[in-house]
Amino acid sequence: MSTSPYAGRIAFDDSLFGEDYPHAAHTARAYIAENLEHLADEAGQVRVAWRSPAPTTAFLTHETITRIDTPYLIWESDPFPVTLDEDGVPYPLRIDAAGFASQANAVTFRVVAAPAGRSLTYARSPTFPQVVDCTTSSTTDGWLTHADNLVQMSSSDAVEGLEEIPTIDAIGGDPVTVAATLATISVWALTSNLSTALRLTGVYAAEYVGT
Amino acid sequence: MSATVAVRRPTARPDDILVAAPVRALTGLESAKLGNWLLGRGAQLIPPYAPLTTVTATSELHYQFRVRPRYQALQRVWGFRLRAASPMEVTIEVPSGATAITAPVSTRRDTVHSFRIVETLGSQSDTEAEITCAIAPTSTTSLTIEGISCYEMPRGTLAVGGSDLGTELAVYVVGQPIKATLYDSIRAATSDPLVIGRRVSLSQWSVPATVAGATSTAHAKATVGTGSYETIYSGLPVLTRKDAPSATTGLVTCKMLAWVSGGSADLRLNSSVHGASTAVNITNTSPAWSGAITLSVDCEDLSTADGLQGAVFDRLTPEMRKNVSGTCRVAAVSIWEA
Repeated sequence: MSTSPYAGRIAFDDSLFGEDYPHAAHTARAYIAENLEHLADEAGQVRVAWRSPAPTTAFLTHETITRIDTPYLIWESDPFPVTLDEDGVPYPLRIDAAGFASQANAVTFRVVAAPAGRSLTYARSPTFPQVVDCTTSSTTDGWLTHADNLVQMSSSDAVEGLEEIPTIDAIGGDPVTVAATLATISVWALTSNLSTALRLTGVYAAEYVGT
Repeated sequence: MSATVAVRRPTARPDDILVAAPVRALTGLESAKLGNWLLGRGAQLIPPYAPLTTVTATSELHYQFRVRPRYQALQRVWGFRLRAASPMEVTIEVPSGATAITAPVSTRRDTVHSFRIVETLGSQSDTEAEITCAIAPTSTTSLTIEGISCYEMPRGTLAVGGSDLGTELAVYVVGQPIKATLYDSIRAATSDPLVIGRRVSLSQWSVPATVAGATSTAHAKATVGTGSYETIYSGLPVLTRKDAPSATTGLVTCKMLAWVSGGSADLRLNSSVHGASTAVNITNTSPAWSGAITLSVDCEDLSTADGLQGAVFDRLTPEMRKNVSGTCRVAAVSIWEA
């Protein structure tokens, strides 16, 4: 939800900021503070986006499943730096996933957002807000059904994923470090029938400022 | 000089600014911090994707992407996830042609890890450009590239003013006036939505059009017929940022790495909500980036819990059509906010 009252950027005339103009409170509020808030609301990035061009032959799947109550990893993204809100909570991620079952049995593609290295913990906890289950029993490829479109990491996730990453302060400059919270999107398989495999053919995750 | 970039989002506190009352230096300071945060946190250049390229040869695989980066970026962080039939190594170059780095490849799904390589740029630029990487297996073991990604390294501090547009924080002093010039950088950033916070990549898909230095048809998506549009991949969600308060759409730009065996072909985008774009025609017989394909798609609706308009994903499908005989091939589709 927007923190800017107009839920949008207000265009303005650059001459309002001329040196001969007094800096009016209205200018500071509407053109600076509120526009900045809107731009920050829309600062979320697309963090995962792919769709197989040949879903029936080019897909990702899991190791052999031996237990129907255990999630098996299908795919995990590279870590990406999450956008942290004012309270230290990461922006929620709007997600979607595509795939199909190898046989007509109920299967679940469990999408998990978690600090790098922590996805298994949440994969085993379907009620956590870091998890959205996408379900199907279809053997035809397609985007999957899910009750919720958002996954939400917590402030403790943000702390857990925080890294001081070596970088530089300018082109050809000195070494410095920068702090960033790194997280991944992973997809896990759950099947109602041990002989039914899951075929993952697409994943999408984009940060959104949320409510 | 300290145009520092916060880790968490600061707030500009517009409610603290009252008409007919002077703007407090601390309020101006918060705006400046938010401006620096927006400019300095970096963009996702290649959202993690699964190329699903499987090879059994040691030939070098060349991946190409089209991006319009942010000026503030100094380094790019690349990530690679690879899986092999038996333990092996690959060499990776970022960009293609740079000194190769050797990376181990595991075999089990649970032990596939992300191999991270940092690319330091020679200069800053926000000009649209191609970025590349190359992967060369060191054995003929079956190898699948399961993930490639790239993001701009966040900045800890920005240069004050100039093209970095950092705002000096130390000049907001209690009791002192806020001079108009203190707002120069923020004003420049907020007056152009493409300068600040741009989604550099809405999606990136690339497979090798060049293998071992020569054009290859092994991995590109090819037309199977002529005269009708064919799907390159189907229905990836897309939402741009919302700009003006009344906006319901945003413009995306797409370029495809494509070529034909002869004659011509058409390339376009198809939105599930807004229909098809104007097509771009190609006649090149070796891989080259197409002209820009533009299309208005849904932007986020900030009044809804998930940003979707009408609880429906706008889904974007890149398409190609070979005119008359022959084959059209597409090896990369890059889509970014215009």
